[in-house]
Amino acid sequence: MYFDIFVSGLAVGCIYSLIAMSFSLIFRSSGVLNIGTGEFVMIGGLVGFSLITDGTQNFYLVMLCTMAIAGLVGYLSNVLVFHPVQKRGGQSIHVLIASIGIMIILPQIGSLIWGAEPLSFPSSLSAGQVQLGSAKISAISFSIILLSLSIMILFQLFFKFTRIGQAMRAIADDRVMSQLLGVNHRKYIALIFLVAGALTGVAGVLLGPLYYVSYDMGIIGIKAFAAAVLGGFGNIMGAVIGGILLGLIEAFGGTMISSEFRDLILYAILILVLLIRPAGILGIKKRRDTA
Amino acid sequence: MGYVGGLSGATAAFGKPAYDAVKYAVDEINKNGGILGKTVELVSEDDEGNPFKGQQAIDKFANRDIKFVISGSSSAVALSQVAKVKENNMIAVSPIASDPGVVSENPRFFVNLANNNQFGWAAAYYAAKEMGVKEVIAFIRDDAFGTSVYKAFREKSAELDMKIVHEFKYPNDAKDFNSYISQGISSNPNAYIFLSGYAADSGLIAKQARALGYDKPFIATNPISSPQYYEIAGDASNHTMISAAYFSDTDIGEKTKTFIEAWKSKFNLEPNVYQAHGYDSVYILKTAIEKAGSAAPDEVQKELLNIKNYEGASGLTSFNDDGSATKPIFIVNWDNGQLKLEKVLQAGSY
Repeated sequence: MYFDIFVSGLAVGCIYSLIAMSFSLIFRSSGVLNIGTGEFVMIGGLVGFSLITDGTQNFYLVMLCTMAIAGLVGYLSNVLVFHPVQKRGGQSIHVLIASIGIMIILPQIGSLIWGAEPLSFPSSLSAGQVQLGSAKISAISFSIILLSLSIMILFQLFFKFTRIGQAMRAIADDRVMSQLLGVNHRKYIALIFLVAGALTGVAGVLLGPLYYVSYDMGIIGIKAFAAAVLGGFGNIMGAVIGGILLGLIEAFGGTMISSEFRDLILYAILILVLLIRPAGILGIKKRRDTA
Repeated sequence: MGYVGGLSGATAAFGKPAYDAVKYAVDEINKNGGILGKTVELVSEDDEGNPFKGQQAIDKFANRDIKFVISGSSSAVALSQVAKVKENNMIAVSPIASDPGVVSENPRFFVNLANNNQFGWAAAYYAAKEMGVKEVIAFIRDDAFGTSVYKAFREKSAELDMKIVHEFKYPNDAKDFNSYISQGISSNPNAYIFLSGYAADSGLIAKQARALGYDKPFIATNPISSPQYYEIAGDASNHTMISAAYFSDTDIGEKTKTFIEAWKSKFNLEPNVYQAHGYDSVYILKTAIEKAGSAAPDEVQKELLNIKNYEGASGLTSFNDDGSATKPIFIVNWDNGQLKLEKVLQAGSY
């Protein structure tokens, strides 16, 4: 029983981690707190639904296409909204308001295109079990854990070993120094938004077979934001740890204490952790050039 | 005539089909001369499953001097509308709100659907007596509908020695039930799962339960007869036994047969429970207005209370003194995307 609970909590936690990584990546590199991140998850989920029900049988191909489309939405959000606001002298509050605008507009667009009812991925994707030793676990939870962890590892490798990834890390670590070293900020920050968008897109498409997708599913962004804070806002590894911890606390807290007050337990534990360690588990990671 | 119901969000699973049938009935009535020689104008409002918006809709109708409302709102929203309907001297008929708390003495809010007590008792009776269920894991949607149908289910289970071994109450927006399902079926592998929620959340429970190896039938109530349950659960919906308000079968009666044939010829689809009751709600109101000979709400109320054995698309409807309806319960079973009739339980037999 405990192993089942662990696996289901880990699966959901991995999805929270992907979204939390997006929050932290954008914040660390550009200072933008993008409250609309949850809505990019929604776009990913709905686009994934359209692709998989319109004949694209290969789920991995659907995932890749969704990442590309969600990445484009992320890229455009920077090019059309955040960068122009910042360029015109917008402070953090103006950028935050712009992101709230995105948070309101995108679900309306989602419901116009896909309608207001929940949409289900083919049930064959979520059926079946996997034998792990003496335990049988849900195949979809197992797949989500493997896929999410693989994606997280791939992104870490990308940031560590590719030129583009290293340039992005340089901007995230120290914007001023990276500029002095000739890194093109505008280009790489736009790419960071693209990568962050892709992360949320894959989160959305993984949620499809686990639950269902709908125009109002972006609310998951609130929990992912909590995960990013729990792990240390701006810290990518912190986002991974925060997401997984959140998923496990949710699963075990709801089962061991009360299903009715699962969210209350979750946020009470979050507040307790922040009271003890306000910067989150791994601490807030800011750019070295910021105060 | 006003229509208020969930036209978006989770409650659109029943709010939208009910609206479609209400519009169909109004169009049909207008083609045949209207009510008391007058054309009916249908004005609709989306409550989005939100009690506050449900109340606002009644206020908007009152501001337009609309006296008659068909409420396709969920039980939680309808409960918030009852006082407003009375305050504004209106009459409402609901084909959806099955919470017994919606009706009361000297009613202005009538419900032409069986109520949650009937759904809960019938589900427990069938599970215990016909399926031989001894233990139950109950998933309780934490809203007016879920808690009231579960209360009735639990009452009848206690009478019939069927033990509730786990109770998992969940918030309306819950999507992940894996940990509760694991806990339930690991500690009580012979227990059956009871679903007290709506199609979307119950569909998720069914899907996740099957993925965790639960292979027994589910026990559920009326909202699970919605096609949305099958859309979300897919094959996991097979062997879900439901105490439903309606079954689309031409053997139920002549009016049901006529309705099914006309609906299929127009929409190329089998009508569901919300459509049959939505259609009847309009015609029941029309019958009462015509018998009263006026659109005065007080007079129409008297005639609604006199409605006994009205034969409509959903079978026979009789209103009780509190505005609730006595109706048969149909035990139906999902089988590869189709609902199959297992048994009809008449009022008083369970």
